[in-house]
Amino acid sequence: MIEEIALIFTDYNISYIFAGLGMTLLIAVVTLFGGTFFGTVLALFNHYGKASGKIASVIVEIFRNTPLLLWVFVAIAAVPLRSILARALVATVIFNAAIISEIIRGGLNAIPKGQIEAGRSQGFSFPQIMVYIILPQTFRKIVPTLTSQSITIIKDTSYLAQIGVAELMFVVKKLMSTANTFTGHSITAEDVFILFGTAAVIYFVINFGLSVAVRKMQKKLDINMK
Amino acid sequence: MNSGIFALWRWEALWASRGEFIDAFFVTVEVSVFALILALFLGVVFGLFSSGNNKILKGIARVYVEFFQNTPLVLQVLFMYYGLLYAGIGLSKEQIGVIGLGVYTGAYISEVVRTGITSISHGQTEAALSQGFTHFQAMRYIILPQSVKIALPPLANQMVALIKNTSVLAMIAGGDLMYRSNAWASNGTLSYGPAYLVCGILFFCLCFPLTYFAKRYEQKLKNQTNTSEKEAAAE
Repeated sequence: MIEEIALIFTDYNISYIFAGLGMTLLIAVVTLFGGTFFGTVLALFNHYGKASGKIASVIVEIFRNTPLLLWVFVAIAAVPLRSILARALVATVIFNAAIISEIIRGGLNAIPKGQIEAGRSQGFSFPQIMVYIILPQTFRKIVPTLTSQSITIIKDTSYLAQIGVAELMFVVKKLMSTANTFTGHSITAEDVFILFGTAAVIYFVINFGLSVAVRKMQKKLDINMK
Repeated sequence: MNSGIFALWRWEALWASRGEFIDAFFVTVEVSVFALILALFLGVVFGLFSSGNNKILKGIARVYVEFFQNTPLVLQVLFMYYGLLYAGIGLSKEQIGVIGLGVYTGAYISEVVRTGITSISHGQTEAALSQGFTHFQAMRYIILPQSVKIALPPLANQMVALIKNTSVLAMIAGGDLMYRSNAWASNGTLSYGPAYLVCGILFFCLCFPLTYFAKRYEQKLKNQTNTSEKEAAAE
């Protein structure tokens, strides 16, 4: 086992795995921030708009009831961008915007309606009320939920292995399928175990850390509410 | 020939291979159903473990939930697929799908069950025990009926997640709806438009009734508590 580990983890392979991890985190960050931005827009339409609210809720339902991988494939086939990564990001951002908009809507529901009227009476315009009064409170409430969504986002980056984006899952799969070139013998279940186990540990450390943070924040929020 | 992505001839081609899509749809449904049964079983067992008093069982349930919730499903399924492949153990891709999805979703359902049980106030168990109920009776007649009510909407949402996650089978060429739609479109005619549209509509038809139910039922529960709170305040 130890010999095998030494054979597999050459300097080159280690840096390749870290590059994959970097790509995974990059995808996750872009998806989280892009998704939150467009998700906010969707949620505001959904919450305050009449006709536009109907459209927004149809969009949300469509994405909530179909798999991410489908949208990744759709984006690869239909989005006129040059790189595969950019096309895939369009899919992950839009898909998560729909999911996150529901989270934000939940937060908006918890803000008393009187605040909008209060803001109006002080001469604030609607966008000002949103940016300065409503949204800051909404986001404070949903940070824990948003963080647990970021766990899902990190896990879902692994779907992009299917379209050849060199994120962590893809990298590990590739190392496994070429393992014979650096171990000198044909691929064994042990190689699979070592490589996929490494990836599992990396994902676990990041996501478990986030989930501990979620629980802490939730507790703090519960105390503040009381 | 018209090369529009939704050109009529593409639809004709899809209609000609409708058998493939129907088969794939049933693979997805079959895997979903069996995975759901496994997930419910694991979820209830580990959910009871983690809401009980036994420290060791609680620990086991915690490890199970944390491990499977914090690593990607894709990784778990590929791990199992290649591991078994190189270990020379023959399981069909559908079996791998059922086990992978069942174990993964079971971790989420376990948390749903745990929250359902622990959200019923502890006072109720004590009240029941003081009235001469045994622990089992208190669970059976007082706690669980209320827990089920609370757990139904998140359970429905987990079922939706499970159905959507069957698409992970596409990554091991599993013959499911996602795989078949993509494979059919990529081969030859490049008729992505109709293939993805049909695939999306089929997924939507499976999932939407469940999300709709979850939303409505949750709203109903909320209204009930709101009215009972109002009544309590009025008294």
